[in-house]
Amino acid sequence: MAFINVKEKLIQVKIVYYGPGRGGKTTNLEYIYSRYSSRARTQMVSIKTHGDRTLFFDFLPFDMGKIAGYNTVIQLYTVPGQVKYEATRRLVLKGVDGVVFVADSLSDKEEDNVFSLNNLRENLELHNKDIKKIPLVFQYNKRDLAALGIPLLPIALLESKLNSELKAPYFEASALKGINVVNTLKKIVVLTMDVLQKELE
Amino acid sequence: MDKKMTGISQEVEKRLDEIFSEAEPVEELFDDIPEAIEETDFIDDYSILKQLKAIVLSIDWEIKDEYLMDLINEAERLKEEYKNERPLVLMFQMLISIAKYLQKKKTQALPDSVTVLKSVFEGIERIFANENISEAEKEQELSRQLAAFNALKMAIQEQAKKPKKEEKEPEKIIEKAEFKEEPVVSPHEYAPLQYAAPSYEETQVPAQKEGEISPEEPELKEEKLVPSQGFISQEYSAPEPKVPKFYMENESEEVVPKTTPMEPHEAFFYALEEIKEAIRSEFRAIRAELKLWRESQQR
Repeated sequence: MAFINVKEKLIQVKIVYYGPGRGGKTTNLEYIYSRYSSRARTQMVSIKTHGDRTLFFDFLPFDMGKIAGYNTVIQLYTVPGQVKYEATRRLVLKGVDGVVFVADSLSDKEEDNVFSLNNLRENLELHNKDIKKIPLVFQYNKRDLAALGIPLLPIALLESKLNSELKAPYFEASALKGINVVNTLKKIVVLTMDVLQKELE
Repeated sequence: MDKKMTGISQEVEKRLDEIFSEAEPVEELFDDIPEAIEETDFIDDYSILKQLKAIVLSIDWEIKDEYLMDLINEAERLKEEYKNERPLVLMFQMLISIAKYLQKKKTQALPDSVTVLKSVFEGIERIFANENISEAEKEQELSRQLAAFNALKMAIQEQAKKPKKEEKEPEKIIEKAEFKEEPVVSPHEYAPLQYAAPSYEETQVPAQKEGEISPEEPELKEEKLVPSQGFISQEYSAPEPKVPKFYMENESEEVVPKTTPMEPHEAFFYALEEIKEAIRSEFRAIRAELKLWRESQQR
């Protein structure tokens, strides 16, 4: 549930980028930060290991200004994708309002994607949240690699393996190039705010 | 409050459009990507090494027998192709040796072996990247990689000397049970650039002991390989009730570790444990780098 301070007229919404390791979650946030940091007037917090992997989480608060008279801050988080950081992922999901699932399109990552999505489902359950009800957007990342002759999972297969039941909106994206990064963000923010609005009504 | 929230979605959408419309470059269409694409980290420009790089990156992500076999085959092919270039031949041989060592030791292999593997590959990549590289510079690169390689050999020897510790009970923290720390050392970063390259004789390695790897003639015997099974999956496939499987072997199997409800303080504790372990591994990496640096200074 988002943090809403009626007295201070402040709304904080938590969006978590989830997905298998090295799928492009941090790259999404880095792109958003690099493009919009001056407008967003914010700092990105990133804790990485020597090997440039996300250690704990990345955190990017994104100030949207006043919405309906409320100062609205979107807090973007990533989780470490590596299997071993299970407890950290659970912790970062606490209080989540919306999820972007960044799937890795590389052909050999099918199992990793499925595993990570199932992992998301279970970790949400631990926080009494249902993956079918929480605002969710799929981002099929690294699609640009097809142009370089690198075999990718077909979108139809990704949809069938990951999204056939959930039927969440999805985007083909390249976080590295910034393609559909913003559209993904827009979609999840709108969906999340929409759910938040309904919950408050 | 409710009234004020009414219509928020539309307002949010409008606000996001305002925020992003100016800064957003012309949206690239995927149809245009072949023309618009630039070189990225995913792919290098040295087509000769393209396959090798893909394999090394795969191994960096997950160590599988099939990747190691691919690496050995590709490195053997390149070694033959560049048989007249001693630095390259030796570095390809290092890759082969480390790959064979990983094949043999599997999860018991030192985590730094993957780091050294990557370092050697990066050394090869630097040689290919510089068209005007001199022979002396190639030898320098070889020396740097040999230093890292020899340090790894020493570490392996030390490990072999240590008496085996008693098997510990699996910990409750499932994610800590089997995973090795990340390979995090980049030995070449602190290696000196100036010391003289060793002679060919110096690069010859005497008879190896068990578990030792050599750039010249690895004596490690190849084990019978289990196709399409990662080391982690092999380890997790053991019938240990407390350790769930993390990688499915076929689609009918459950692929998610069985989770149990966790109190917030428990989750926080486990997260702290993960961070502590990561910090410890970072320190180990720094110590290893310092050791390499000191050794190189003594030469």
